[in-house]
Amino acid sequence: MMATPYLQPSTRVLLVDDNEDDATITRSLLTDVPGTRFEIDWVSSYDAGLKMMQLNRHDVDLLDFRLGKRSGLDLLREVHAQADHAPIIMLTGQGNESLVAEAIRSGATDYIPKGLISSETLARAIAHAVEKAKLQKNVLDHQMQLEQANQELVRKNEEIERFYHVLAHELKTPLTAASEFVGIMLDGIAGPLNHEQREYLQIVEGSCDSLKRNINDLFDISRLETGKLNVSPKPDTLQNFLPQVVATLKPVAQDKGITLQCLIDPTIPEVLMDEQRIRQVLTNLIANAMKFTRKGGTITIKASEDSTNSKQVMMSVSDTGIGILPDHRNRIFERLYQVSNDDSPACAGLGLGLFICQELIKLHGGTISVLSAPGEGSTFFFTLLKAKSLPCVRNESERNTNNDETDNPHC
Amino acid sequence: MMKQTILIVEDDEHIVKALELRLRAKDYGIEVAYDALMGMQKAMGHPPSLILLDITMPGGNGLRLAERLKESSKTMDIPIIFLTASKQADLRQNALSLGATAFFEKPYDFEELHATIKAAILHPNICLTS
Repeated sequence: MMATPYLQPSTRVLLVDDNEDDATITRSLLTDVPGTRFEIDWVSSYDAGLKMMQLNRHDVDLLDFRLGKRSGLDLLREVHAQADHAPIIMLTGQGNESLVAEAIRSGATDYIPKGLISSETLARAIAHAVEKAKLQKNVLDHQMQLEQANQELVRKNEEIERFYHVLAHELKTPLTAASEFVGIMLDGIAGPLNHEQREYLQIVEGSCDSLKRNINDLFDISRLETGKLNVSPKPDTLQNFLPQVVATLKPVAQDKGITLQCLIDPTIPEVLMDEQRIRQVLTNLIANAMKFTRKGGTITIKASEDSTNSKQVMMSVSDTGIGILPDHRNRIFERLYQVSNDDSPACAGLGLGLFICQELIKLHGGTISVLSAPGEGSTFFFTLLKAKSLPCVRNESERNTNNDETDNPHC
Repeated sequence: MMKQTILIVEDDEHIVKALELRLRAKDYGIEVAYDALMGMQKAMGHPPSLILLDITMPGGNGLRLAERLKESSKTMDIPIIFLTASKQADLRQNALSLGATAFFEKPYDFEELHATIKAAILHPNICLTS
């Protein structure tokens, strides 16, 4: 007889059979099986069988269908309904398909008709049952480990969210007080200021503003990472909105000697946008452009039809600044990426702004890209869906990774 | 014309002081409560023209206070503007669903806040979601 695969060197078997002759035959079949030694405990009654099976000390239980006045099927059901037990193989008399099916449904691992029993079939059935039980236990163990890891992740996520909530409160409350009192002094509510005092307070005001932007960027990133940054795009016109956004940035541009201009195709229809978020994108792109444009330069904000896709509108922010080297251009939308080289003016920042812009545009169902050459300025393009293509807005889970620079026919 | 009164419910004394200075300069009468309970008492005692309401305060949540103010016939028509430093998800939506007029995140732009205050006092039942 060939050695049965998987069998361990020693296998503990519980045999529940009320017929002593049958039990003796089963025992004899399991002696001298190559590759393992069977240690067999035999019990002949339902109650003794139940007691032994509940102890779960064996590698496999062989259970006869007939146990005096009671049935092995009842014993199987009773044991299976309770705690863990070894894999159970039913030993049937004559083939009774409906009984067999019922046994398998009730928790038996396998069955062997007594008439067909041989040393090899029995040893193989035991080996398979033991192996199957082991695999099932492994699967269950892994499942449990995964569930525990998942619970731990959920808990950690909640902890981080709570921390961010507290952090937001603790950073923004003092910042509010600081920027408000600076505003109060600049407004002259606390008395007149001389030129020097005004200048210094304006520096503090500017610092408060950049701190505020950085804090907001950090929280946007945390929301993006937990999938909680949502946008609510609504139909809106760009004809009023764009000049408003540009107007708020004009004083800063004027201070730097940069011209800001806005070119809007008057025929473009309503687009789908979350006004607050698109304002954030534009402000970020224009502020970036100002950072890299020298005095006397021009920044142009444009809105027109997208000639490559009739369902979209194309917006762009172009500058006459120093441009972006190809190496930087490929990575500029990456999270935490910062452009810094000897040709750039000092540019503080967290390296989050363009990444956030990209994510916000994706949440609107659009794409963002850049075209630039060193010394020739840069143009950032992004698309917004027209309001009539409403069903096309993707939600966050459907975001793709279309963040590479793309050739744009507008340029 | 009688002065419009604004009740500031806010636990940070510096922010209270800043709002008070700014709003008094705009000729509003100011009442202050440093927690939600005091806010409820002051709003019920002398209903103000408008309430500026913080959300995260010790001893009571601004959202719960807004809910109670909107339940009482004495205070239900008072416009409420939330001012919060919290970044909790869905907070804006939850706050506005309670019938608040507007929701501002700290640090706020005072000019924008003041424009909203003026509009809310003039039209107490509108919702300005800026």
